[in-house]
Amino acid sequence: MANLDTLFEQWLEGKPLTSEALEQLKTSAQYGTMLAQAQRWQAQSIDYKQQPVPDWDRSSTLGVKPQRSKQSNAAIWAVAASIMVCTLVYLVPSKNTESELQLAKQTKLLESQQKQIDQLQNIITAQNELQQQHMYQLTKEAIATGRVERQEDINSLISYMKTQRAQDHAYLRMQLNDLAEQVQGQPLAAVAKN
Amino acid sequence: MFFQSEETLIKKAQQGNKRAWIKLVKQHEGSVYNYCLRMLSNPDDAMDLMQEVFISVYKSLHNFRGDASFNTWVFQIVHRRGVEFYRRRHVYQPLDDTPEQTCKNGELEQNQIVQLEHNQLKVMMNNLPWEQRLVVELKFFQHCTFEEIALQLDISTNTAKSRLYSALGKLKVHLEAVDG
Repeated sequence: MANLDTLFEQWLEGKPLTSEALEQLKTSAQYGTMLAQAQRWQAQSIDYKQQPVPDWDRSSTLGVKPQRSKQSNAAIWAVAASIMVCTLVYLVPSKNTESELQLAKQTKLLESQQKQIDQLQNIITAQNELQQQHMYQLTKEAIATGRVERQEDINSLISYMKTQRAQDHAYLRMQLNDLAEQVQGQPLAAVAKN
Repeated sequence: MFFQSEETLIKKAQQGNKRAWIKLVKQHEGSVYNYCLRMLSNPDDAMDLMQEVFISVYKSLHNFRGDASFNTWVFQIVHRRGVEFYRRRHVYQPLDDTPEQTCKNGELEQNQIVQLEHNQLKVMMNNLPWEQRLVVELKFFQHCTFEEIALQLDISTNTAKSRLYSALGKLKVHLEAVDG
């Protein structure tokens, strides 16, 4: 049986089987039928004609902008700005007599640039966290709404069933009353005796 | 118009380029729509689900790192959204809600044959619970291995196998009932 299972699995995975192995599968009561069903699905898959997609508004999927784009843009601009400033600083011709002063200035400038980059990074991180929180809130709200809707549906179903049950009871009661009246109206001889 | 690789399109779409996004949608909408159609058996529902899927894909596009292929990643979202959609629709759909068969173009005979085949497939699919339907779709229509199915649906390969075997058993019972 384990052998047949392996063979069937191999066949399902698209591995070629020998004609003997295939015959073994076909003659098995369990795997023979499963093989036939699987072949039927395969035939359906082969015969299936891809349906053309009807015209639709593809831009309707652009409801929310990907969050990363803004952040990555900000980061790119920050890095580009710092590189440009650094390049400018290095390209400025420096005199030997003022070299120490220039170096100090450049160091200060670099430090301030670094600070700016750090600040931008912090802003990006904060924005990211804020957006994540928003997404979390939205998801929570969606789940809560779904739960309430389900609850309402179940409640309406239960009340419907209760009404139906009450109506059924009333109808049965009426029928029983009718029968009782009929039995009471009959002469004694017509009433069935045990 | 210059040819742009999928990778380029994804990068551009991640940066908010609308045209790149629309191109990506056009590249993948056929497979997604046909998947939805097979799973839900109703063109309107398939369109709704496809739209929901692409909205989800766009929203989480920044999460795509390229670890798996874009198609695999899209289909992971399709499976998730599909389950949600099915559950939602399954609750609200009346029992006698059978969609009308429509024929839009004039090739009646060809359409009827295709329609017949699709109807048969529809009956076979509708006879299965959603989880088994999903495995059948991945196995026979997307030609995935059990390992790939397990990976996509986040289940074990044994579960994938047993779901497929159950589906095959169900089809047998259904066909016996149909054939009398």
